Amino acid sequence: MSVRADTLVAVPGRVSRRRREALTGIGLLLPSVALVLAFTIFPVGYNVWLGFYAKHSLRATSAWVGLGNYTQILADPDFWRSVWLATVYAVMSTALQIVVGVAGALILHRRFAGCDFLRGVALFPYMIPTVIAVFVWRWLMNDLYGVIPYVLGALRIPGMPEAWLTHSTIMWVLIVLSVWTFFPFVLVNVLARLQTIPLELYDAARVDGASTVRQFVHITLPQLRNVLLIVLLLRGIWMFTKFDVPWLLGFGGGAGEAIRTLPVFTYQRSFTYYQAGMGAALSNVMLALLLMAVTIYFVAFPPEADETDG
Amino acid sequence: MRRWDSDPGLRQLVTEHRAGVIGRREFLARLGATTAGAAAASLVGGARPARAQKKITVTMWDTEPNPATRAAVKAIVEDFHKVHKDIEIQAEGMGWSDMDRKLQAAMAAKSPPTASHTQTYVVTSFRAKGLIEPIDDLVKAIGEDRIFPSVLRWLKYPDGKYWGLTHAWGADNLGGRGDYLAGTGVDPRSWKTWNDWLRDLPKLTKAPQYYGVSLAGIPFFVNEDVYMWTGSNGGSLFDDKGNPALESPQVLGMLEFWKKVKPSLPPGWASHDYLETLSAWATGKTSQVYMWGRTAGYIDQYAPPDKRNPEIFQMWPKTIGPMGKAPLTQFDNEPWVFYADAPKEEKAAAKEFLKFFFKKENYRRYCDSVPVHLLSIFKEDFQDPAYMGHPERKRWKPWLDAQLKWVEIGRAHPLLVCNPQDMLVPWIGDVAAAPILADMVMAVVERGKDPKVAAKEASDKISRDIIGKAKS
Repeated sequence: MSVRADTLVAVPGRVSRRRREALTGIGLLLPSVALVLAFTIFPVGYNVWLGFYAKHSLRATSAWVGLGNYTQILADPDFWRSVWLATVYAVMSTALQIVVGVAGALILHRRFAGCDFLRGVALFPYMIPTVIAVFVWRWLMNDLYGVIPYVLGALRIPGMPEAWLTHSTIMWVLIVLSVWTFFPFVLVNVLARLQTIPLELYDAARVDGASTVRQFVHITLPQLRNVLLIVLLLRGIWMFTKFDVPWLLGFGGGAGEAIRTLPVFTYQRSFTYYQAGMGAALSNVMLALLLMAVTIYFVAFPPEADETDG
Repeated sequence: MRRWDSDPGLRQLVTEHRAGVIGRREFLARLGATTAGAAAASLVGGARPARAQKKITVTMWDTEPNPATRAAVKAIVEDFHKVHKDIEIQAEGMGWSDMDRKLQAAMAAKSPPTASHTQTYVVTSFRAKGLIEPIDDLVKAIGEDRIFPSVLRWLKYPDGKYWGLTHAWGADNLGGRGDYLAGTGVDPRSWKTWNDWLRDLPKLTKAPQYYGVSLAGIPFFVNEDVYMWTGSNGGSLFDDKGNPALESPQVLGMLEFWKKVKPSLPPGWASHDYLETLSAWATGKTSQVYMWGRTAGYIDQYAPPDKRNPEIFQMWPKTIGPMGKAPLTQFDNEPWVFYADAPKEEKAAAKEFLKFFFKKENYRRYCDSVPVHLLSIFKEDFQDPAYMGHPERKRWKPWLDAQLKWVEIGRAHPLLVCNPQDMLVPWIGDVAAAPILADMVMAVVERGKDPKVAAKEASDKISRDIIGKAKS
């Protein structure tokens, strides 16, 4: 193919067209950039800035304290307790959501009578507004009227507590309630992935005499690896930062003291102690903790190409 | 401001345009000519200046969201609009927690409502921060002498000014189930001291059918019991300088007392909210409860029809701690406050509205919306057969009498105020909002911590996290 000489020299019309195209591109990007700046970068930046100030939530004035909020946070045993409670809650509830979600997906992956109906029903807990789900659970577990304590009491199981929404047991209620509410997210993602695993893999394994358990361990789990890692990451972050469920279950005090996770602790600093600056600093600490956890996660589980993709 | 449809020319023009008689271009041209003509006519005709015609919009937030009260407020506002066409009252009712969040956001943005309800102790905090302003003119216009002195005293500060005006009042009482006394040998009228009460609590407990007393475990409501029992034990939560006095013998005695009450509480009490305690009493799950007049509604909703009366749902006496001289109860006298950052003309209009609101015929509608809970601030009403003759007030007269008694003896104090001087503690509202006192109680009662250690920790937290921040 020959190259014409005039294509090698700059043609003013073409340059201006390229510039026009570039400007059009930038113009199209601008609304998105503006939205990201306004609703993501600015709030995060403002929060970092606010973390260096002592600011009462009711006043429009503030005073510079530098790292004062952070030194106070790190010396506060209540802060470390809330980090511990948030970690217990996030780890336990995420692990159980994955176990229940994967088990549910494996069951619903099979075809049987009523399978489609069950697939729809399985999503219900995730579709119910959180406030309703939590209040229903509060009533189910209520020591005076609740169905669950009544049934468990009637069964006379030794060692069963008289009440469940108490300091010693409320964390378990929170975890079970959260697993019930959020496992459908895992189920849907895993079920979608299960339906794309080539059946030939299972056929070949059966020909080689692999048992169901070996098929699960050597075919299903590796195929699910990437989706499980994403689910683990997302659910882990979401459970660590989960505010509404522990707040609505315990209101941050009374027995709820035992589920005063880091987000609840942060909320209370901002809106019940009226310390907006301290609340901002706590949010920044929470962000830093999550970034550290995510970094460790990506080092431990580096992303790899899906085996079926290539 | 006049509406466009009050002008016949404009109305005709719009009608023609909507009907398609004239096109858009002609509509706009004639609209310009018509409005210019109207403006000229208003100048020649001596119409009110534009400034005077501007409608003043007043935002007023209150904490009475129940439908009956909303309907009463709406009717009063509508009647007010009929006589004050230049004022638009936007009255919004919301729950306490919603109000707290909305106020925080509004004040931080220096954009508060014109006026709002608040808790009595919050007046002190807001006043100390310069967020509200005095309203002597309003109190005097409504009739200072007509209002119960016990209602007024909490809102008059050492500067001699009133910083709020109570919208309605109520007093907390110990409610007891009369039907549970049979066969127990218990006579609540004989109770004087904590020991009397503790002696009889087990006799009024028949677990798991019902328990001796219900308390709410949510921090705000734990605070109520903390200060009422401390006050009944002759103590206070603050010393003369406003520093925490939680390590005092009276507060430690209150914590020890709470431990002794615990065996008579439902096992899950620490997670119960206030409304759960009321429904537990109404349905017979508890013998006793600390309650307000509003509880009558719960009884009518949940109790068996044959038990919905004050013979079953009785008022029992509150008792005195070993170091106290008289019992103390909570006074619900939430006031209207006016915000310093709100525009002057809005505040003047809001005061006009409240003068109208407190007129007998209007205020009666408001009080009658929850007859045994929203009690009138005017002394004369309690001598008025029409007020006292309301069917609900007649039916629950013993409850009304019990509330009046507290006001008469002056032992009904606002939340966290054990002694009158506590009203001047600038951070009292911040202490009430934080969960520190409730954590102290839970540490002792539920986690078995030594009261002295728990009180010291709570004291340190108040000093560091609240007083330290306030001073800095």
